[in-house]
Amino acid sequence: MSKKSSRSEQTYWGFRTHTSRYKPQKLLNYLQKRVTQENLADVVSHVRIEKGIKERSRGEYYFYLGIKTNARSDWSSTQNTLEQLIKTVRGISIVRIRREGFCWEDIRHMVGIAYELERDTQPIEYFQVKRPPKVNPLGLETPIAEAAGSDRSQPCEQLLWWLSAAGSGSWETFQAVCSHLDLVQPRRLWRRLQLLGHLLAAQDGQHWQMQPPSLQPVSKNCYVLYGQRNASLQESLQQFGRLVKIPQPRRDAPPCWQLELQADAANAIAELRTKYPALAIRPVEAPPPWADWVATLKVVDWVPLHRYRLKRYDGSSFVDVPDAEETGFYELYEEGSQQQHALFYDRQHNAWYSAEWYSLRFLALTHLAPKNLSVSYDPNAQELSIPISQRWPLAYERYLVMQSGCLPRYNRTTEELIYQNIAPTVWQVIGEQLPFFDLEK
Amino acid sequence: MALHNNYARWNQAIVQWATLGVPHGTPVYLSVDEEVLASLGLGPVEDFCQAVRAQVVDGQRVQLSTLQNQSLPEPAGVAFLALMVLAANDMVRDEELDERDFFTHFCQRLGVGGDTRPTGMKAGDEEGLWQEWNQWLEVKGWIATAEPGEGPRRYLNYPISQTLLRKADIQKLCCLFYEKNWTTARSETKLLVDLASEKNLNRHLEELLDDRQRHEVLGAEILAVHQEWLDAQCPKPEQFSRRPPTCLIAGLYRTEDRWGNPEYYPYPKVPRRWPVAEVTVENLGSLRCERSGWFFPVGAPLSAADLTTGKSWPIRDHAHLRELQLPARDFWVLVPDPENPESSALASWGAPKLGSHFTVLFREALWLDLQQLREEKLLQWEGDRQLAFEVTSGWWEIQECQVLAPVWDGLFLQHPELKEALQPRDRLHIALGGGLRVPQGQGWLEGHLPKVTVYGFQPTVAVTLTEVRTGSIYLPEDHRSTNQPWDLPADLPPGTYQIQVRGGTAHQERFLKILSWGDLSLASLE
Repeated sequence: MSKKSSRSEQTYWGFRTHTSRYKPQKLLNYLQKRVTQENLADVVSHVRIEKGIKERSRGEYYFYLGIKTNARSDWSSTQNTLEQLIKTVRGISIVRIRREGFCWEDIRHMVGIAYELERDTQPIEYFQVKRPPKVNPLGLETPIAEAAGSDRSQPCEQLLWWLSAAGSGSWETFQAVCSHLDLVQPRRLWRRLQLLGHLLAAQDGQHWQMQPPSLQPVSKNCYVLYGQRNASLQESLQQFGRLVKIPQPRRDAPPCWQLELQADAANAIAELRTKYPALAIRPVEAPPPWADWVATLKVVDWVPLHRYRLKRYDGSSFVDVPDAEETGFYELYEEGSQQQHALFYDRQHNAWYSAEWYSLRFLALTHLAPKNLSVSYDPNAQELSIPISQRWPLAYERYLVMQSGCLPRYNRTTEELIYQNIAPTVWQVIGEQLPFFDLEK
Repeated sequence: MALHNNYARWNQAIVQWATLGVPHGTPVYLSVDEEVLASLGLGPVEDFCQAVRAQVVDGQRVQLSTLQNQSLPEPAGVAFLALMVLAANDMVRDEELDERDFFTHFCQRLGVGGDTRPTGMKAGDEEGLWQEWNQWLEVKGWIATAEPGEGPRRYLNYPISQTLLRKADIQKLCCLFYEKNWTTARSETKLLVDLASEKNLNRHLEELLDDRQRHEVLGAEILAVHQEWLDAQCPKPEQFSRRPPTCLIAGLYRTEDRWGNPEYYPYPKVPRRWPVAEVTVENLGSLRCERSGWFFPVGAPLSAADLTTGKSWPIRDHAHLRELQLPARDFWVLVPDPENPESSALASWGAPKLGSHFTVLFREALWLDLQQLREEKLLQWEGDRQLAFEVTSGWWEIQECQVLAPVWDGLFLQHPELKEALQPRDRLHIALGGGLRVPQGQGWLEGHLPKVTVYGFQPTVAVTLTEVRTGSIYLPEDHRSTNQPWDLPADLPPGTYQIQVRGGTAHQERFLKILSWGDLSLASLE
């Protein structure tokens, strides 16, 4: 409704007061209470008081009641009630200044809004809130930010301590903390922390939960700590052995804390548990068989395709497509929005699936060209290599990373990711769970 | 000297009673009366008075030093202060407000003779205990409410400022409910508005209703009484007695789905002052405590029809709770998460703070009122109103709302509950934004301090920043512009600080805790 039309429905009754004691605010409070008590709020819309009365020494002032004359069918009795109400104001003489009402134009130069009654007060200016654009945590920033020689280990460690103190939270909180610590590309960091076993994310990526402080055996009497940690735990661990902090290859994640126990492991753990009851040796579990993993993908009930421009992954890049006709990995872009969605479409079941970006790309590769998927293993160096363009789903890659507590090294020449401390038994598990690879080759 | 066991038990029980189910960011009142003390399960009121007497009275002499330097998780003086509030309630019953009257009741309760300050308790000796209680609440994330008065009523005002609904007030309320036939559920705001238009209230209730700063807590207290009266099948006033609630009330929790459409979930409130352990709701499962005052949001997104008509779910196998209830409302005010402002979630976490942004979810019928508020430059929001559901649902949202001006008294809306809900309750608000919060609302991390914005209607305010333990002053009466963020001294070391702000006749204070990285503890995981 426009300003003009809303005002045209009302008239103003004008009054003059004669007193130096009855302050306008007191009058307002009184009218407020009486109008409510008499149930006249639909008739009296507001009160306006003469401007600049504070500067004058004389005590009289004008005020106006905004009246909606068409609010009630029984106008004459309403009018009487209103007149009676004004007469009940005690300790002040009030005279109506003319029988007819005023229109807004008659009085608008004379009255102010209520807050002008009090000197030295001012309205609070409306301010726009700058909210960061919504970011889908299951997507990825591209390309990977170059480390540019900067060592981010320290702020990443601080981030981990902060998350350990929080225990759980939302993706937006994670983003905000990264931003405060000047950590760029929070979605990649989010994935790295999951690869290192520190936190688990909900399937829709909207929430996270820290893992309790846990020890993953990596060799005899040697453990990697994953999950919650802080200054106090660091101090406690150092009482039972040598705590080595191994920087991650690109120094873009918290260092690996490797504990070489000097005491008997069972005794040491028992003592540590008196202070940290949740601490335990928790060897990383093997990932599920491929078919089981596919079955856990989250089905998206409804996709408003009409709002989005589609691109489909063709094995090396995303190309524009008019609609989703084929099974594959799609990115959905909305005009005027920075947010994009990455989903997998299964034509056979006419279903859309959601998961983290690398998982869906790998799923797409298994449909596009499963024979092109490759992996190599060096039993002597105990290293496993995969092409960077075929990065594995989180559940499988985490199993590799957790063997050492270190993220993979990147070999620029071969464009491969190299995982360390991969025992033959681990290699064997991989072969069993991922049926695409011929481990005999 | 350690506290006497009996006193320590009362002290702990009163602290728990005062804070149980009170969401962080909302005020806490030490509003004890005989009924409250009797409900704590530690014995009759006389036992309480005896426990306080045994702790602080030696012969006829009061020794407050016995409450100092106690290493307890909560302030040791709360039971003593509760006895002062009890005396204030006795005094208010007589509707007289003078010092002699207060001390007559106080001395009686304490078991010492006289009608003036007892021997050993000089004027203001108890102020430190009030300040300790206030500070403890603020550091824990609640809003402290005990405040001094002017001139000769300076110290007397502390206990008086804590009195909310007394037994006589509750009886008066039940009389009104009964006489006016208020036999259906109402919102806090509706109750407050309806009571404000009643002519036959007692003086104490009228004073409470006139004090807008207390409305948030008062509304919750009155709602609880009304709900208990409804649960008891609307009895005559003389037959009413307070009992545990039979239903849990849900607020609203708003998120957006992956496509940006709003979704609203039931957000169960923990009942104030009634301990609730396991609660299992049919079709929704067990409720888990999310934070002080709230369980986690539950169930599937609500439909427009659910909002229009309200919805209830049976509670299974509970001693006194029978159902979880989402009340039917014409509008909901949804504010950002006070503990996690970066989150895009909005919920019924309380009344909007001065200067903060919020969303109003409303039915079509309220649109004219909202437009009137905007035309009068009292309220502003961003963009146009947005559909909350499909077009025919009649539910809309206005987003990023902000209150612009203080004086709403000259305005009358068709839906006065809307005005009650949105009208600012404070003249000043100290907002701490940005920086790196310590999780669980425990303060900020050193080197990552928040910016301070004082919202108010004066151009400038005087700010003082003091370190609580040492009393070191970091900002002495510094004049700052309102409504503009400013930085704290970057090198503030870890500690607890008090920010005090004065502007005109208004005064506000807030505590700020700064921790080092080494102070971070590990959260306990479920």
